[in-house]
Amino acid sequence: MNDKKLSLRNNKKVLFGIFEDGDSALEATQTVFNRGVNIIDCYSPYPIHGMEKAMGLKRSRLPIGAFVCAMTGLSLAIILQAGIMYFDWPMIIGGKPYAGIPSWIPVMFELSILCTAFGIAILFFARSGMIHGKIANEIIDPRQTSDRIVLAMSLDEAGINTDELVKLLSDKGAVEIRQRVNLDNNEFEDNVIK
Amino acid sequence: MAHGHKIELKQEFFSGNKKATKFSLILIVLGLLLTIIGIATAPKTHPSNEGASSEEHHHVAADNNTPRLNYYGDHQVNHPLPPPIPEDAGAHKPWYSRVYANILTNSYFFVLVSCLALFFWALQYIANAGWTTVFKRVIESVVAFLPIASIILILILIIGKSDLYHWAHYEHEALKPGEPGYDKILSGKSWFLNSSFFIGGIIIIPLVWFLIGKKLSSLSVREDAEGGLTPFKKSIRWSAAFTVFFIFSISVLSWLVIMSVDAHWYSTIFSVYNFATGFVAALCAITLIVLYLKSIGHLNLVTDEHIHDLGKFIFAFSIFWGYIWISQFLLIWYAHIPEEVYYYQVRLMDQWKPYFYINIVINFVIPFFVLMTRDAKRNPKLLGWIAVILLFGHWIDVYLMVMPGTIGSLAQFGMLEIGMLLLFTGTFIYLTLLSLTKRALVPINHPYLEESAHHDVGV
Repeated sequence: MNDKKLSLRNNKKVLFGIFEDGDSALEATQTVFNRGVNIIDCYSPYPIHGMEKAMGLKRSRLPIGAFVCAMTGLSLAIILQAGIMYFDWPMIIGGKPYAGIPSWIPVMFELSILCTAFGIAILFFARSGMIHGKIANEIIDPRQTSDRIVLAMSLDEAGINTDELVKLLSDKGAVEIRQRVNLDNNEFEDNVIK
Repeated sequence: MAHGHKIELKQEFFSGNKKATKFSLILIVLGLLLTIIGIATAPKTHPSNEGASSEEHHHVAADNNTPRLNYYGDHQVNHPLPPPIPEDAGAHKPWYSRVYANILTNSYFFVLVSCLALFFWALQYIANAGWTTVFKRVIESVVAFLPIASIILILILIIGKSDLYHWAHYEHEALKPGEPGYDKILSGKSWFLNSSFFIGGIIIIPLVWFLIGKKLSSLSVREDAEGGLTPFKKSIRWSAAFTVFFIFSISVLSWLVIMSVDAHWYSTIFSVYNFATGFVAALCAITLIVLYLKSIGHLNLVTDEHIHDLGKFIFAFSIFWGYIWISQFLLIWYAHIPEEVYYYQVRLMDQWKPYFYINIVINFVIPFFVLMTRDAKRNPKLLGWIAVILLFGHWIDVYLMVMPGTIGSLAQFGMLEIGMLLLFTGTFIYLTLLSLTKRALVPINHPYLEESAHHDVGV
């Protein structure tokens, strides 16, 4: 997935299908995706089982980030402890050798986890553009945080006629369909189609 | 796409597989052959009596009254001198105690595998988990090995008790404080470590497991025949009762059977450690049978998603095992209290050193790095090999828990050990596959079958 698809802003014309329940939203997503429409995102108050596959989302690369963070934490812990306990100020504790590796393991374990937890939280927010203070323009329908599901599709390169798409969505149970045109001055126009 | 479309829930039957039966029978025959050769060729005289060089290591004198190396620090000043912990447990054991110790290792390992499969089964009921339903019969078939393994364990413990456990000798001496040879630690533990408690425990505990397992499987048979929710609800109650009893009883069993091998030593985390070992082994056994049945065209309802979750379980509990392992080792190693550190001192010396490191590498390092990625867990071939390696690794773990304390220098890794392992493995495979043929493979009336068939772990 690229950034262009991620953002509502970067598409000139966007179509929203608003659904009342997860099942019809999922079915509509599947159908629309199979027709080759670019799906920007799906806004839902609760996770819909199978939605990632229906939207054609690729696997997240977050686990790779997690692994890198964990290894960073691990190396930090080794450098920290070896530096202090072995090179800088060798200490004998409990008659153990300076490099008492088993006693380093808890710190290695904890620092790996700490770095992973913070690292992937930061990576996640950075990658999805959720920066503190940024105003979200993704509120299409105020009820999308309580009982409505909004499916956003790009009309820029859609291989399908808009009328046909609207018919398809309403067949699948969309209660409301809206079209948005993004204007140059950071504003937009919404037209209710259905 | 698992969600949203109908999956046909078709009944399946496993009528046995000639190749697998042949394989298990070959294992049994080969195992038996190697065991017999191993017993015939086993040195009948004690290794420490042969060469003078090995004598130097052993501080145990034949005579109880001579002063020996004191492991207890300044206890010597205030208390009557306890006898030293024998460095070589096998110094005065007959040659056949090696056979006993091997049977003990294998039967205990397979008791762990089958009783923890039963625990896994009960866990599905009390957690209200649905995803395992499509391979529920496999779990049941592993549990079916419990009575056989337990009977062998009980018999070998009754027959070989005095050849395996050094507390069993002390028990009869009935020494008073101050008398030569009086052992404060063993005296203190004698309310627990005595023959009646021991025999009672090793018979009653597996018996109760067996009876609850039988109840659960009879409920499962009833469910197949009648349908409805009554057997399911009853299973939940029995599972809850089993889990509560199990977690206490497996602790007691591990103390009685394995921890008492080193009767002077104790570790409070030992039963959790045994649980972890057994749980990983049980999960590996279940995964291997599922993968095998799938590879010969059965269990069509089991998808990559189920295999993936089994892989996750193996991965997670291998880490759990490593965590418990380091928890036990680290505290003992750091505190360095003589009577505690003795356990690892023996295992880090001489012939046990390689096993000690193999144990960590196989049971933690390999599964941790190999099974980390999603693709590895979804790859049946890789997961299968890891399961085989882990089963062997946890067998080595039990071997290392049993051998140094029971027969010490008498232990060797020879034909006897390999033969006995093959014999037990062959019997396990044969009986497990046999029990799979007795009932239909799909629990068609289970309320969670539909949910299980649609199991999906997401992208």
